[in-house]
Amino acid sequence: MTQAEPDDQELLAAEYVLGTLDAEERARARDLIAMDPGFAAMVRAWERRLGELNVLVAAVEPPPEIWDRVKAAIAGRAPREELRAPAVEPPAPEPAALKDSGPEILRLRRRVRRWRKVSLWLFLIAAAGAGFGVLRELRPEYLPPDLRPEMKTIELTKTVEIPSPKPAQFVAVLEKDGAQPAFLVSFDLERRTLMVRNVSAPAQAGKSYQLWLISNRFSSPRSLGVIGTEEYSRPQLAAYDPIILHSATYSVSLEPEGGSATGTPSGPMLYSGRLIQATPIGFRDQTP
Amino acid sequence: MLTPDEMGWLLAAVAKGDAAAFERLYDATRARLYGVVLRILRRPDLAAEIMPDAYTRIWRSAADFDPRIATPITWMVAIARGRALDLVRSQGAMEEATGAPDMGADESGPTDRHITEELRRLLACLGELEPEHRRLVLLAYYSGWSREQLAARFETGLDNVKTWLRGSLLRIRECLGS
Repeated sequence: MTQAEPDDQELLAAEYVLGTLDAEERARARDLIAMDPGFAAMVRAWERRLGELNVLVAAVEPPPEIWDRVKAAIAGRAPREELRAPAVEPPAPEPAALKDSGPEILRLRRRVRRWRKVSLWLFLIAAAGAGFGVLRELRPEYLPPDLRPEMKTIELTKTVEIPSPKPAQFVAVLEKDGAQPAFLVSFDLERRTLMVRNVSAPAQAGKSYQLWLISNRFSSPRSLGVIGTEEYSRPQLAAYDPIILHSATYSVSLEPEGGSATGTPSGPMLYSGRLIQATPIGFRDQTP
Repeated sequence: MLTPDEMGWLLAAVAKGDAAAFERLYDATRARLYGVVLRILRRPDLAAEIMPDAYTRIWRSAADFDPRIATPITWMVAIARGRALDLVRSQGAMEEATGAPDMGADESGPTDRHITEELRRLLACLGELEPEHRRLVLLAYYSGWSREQLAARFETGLDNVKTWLRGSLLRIRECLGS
């Protein structure tokens, strides 16, 4: 079995902070920061080690209009509140996913646990580089002992704590019949962008995977774009209200190369999942 | 410049949505952050684009600031630098701007700037690296150069650059003892 060199993650964190990673590696590091508290801690440690160098940079007075743009950007936004602010008038009953109810927490707990597994997968994939064949067969219980306990015993509040800076506070794990996660979609609702990572779905010649948003607000699924052969695509979510994004189901269908010609899914819906809030409502505020 | 404690209090107030504290924090840090991102982006228009983005993140995630693991300014610089690097790497557009390598005065050492104990230790550790490796690390940190740009500048291969960078980083970690 391929096992990650401990220093691989450490060096990814170090080079992320130093700045020498390319765009793709940076994106991978950002994913890990959002999903793997251990990796996020490494990044913070490197920020601390190298951060003092900023003292030697000559300060430059920025043009005054930048403050106006900063003010405009934060206007009306409480820090980190906008996504769960009750002030955002929910027009319809909905959304179940936002309710802070007991069963919901249990469901969330289960999902977070699954999601943790995915982050371990991604860690291993990132570290091992190419070991898909091996990793596909991996199950968490086969993980090295030093990785296992953390996953099983961690408190929910800790599990879901996302260290800053966090590009994504929400993720959706798309899977088939509750089995192996195939795609991981991370959402930056603030900027209304999403990133799709193909975790394990096999490439199919002459076919493309296409991501859909399915909401009871719409009569038919809305395309969020064809998932390219590149690891990421970044369709804009600007057209969608956060309430819809929260409550929607995200599905991937197999389409002719380049995507469905009809604008609606024409091939089989293979994988689906819903949004998980990475910082669950009701937990965050209790954290000192 | 405010003291780290003062900035920490401001951040705590910002986390509660205190816009006045945020403005004070902006006033205290804007020139430092702008200097850092401008140095990486080299274009005032791009730096002006990144600044609101960086400060919005600071505003939104102020509650995440943890004085046990960072000082306010290093935390804020890390956010701004990260955004600038994301932009540079995603655009891949900085190549022409780096034609004339900027080996600026920053490596020659501080003059009247406040040298913290942490910085003193870091500089001592950097001083133990091969001079060429030290330049590599500093150019990467200050100017945000990619491995490709560093390889071109140092007239060597990408693999070498990667090896040097990683070796240097591990030595720094070892030297700092953390």
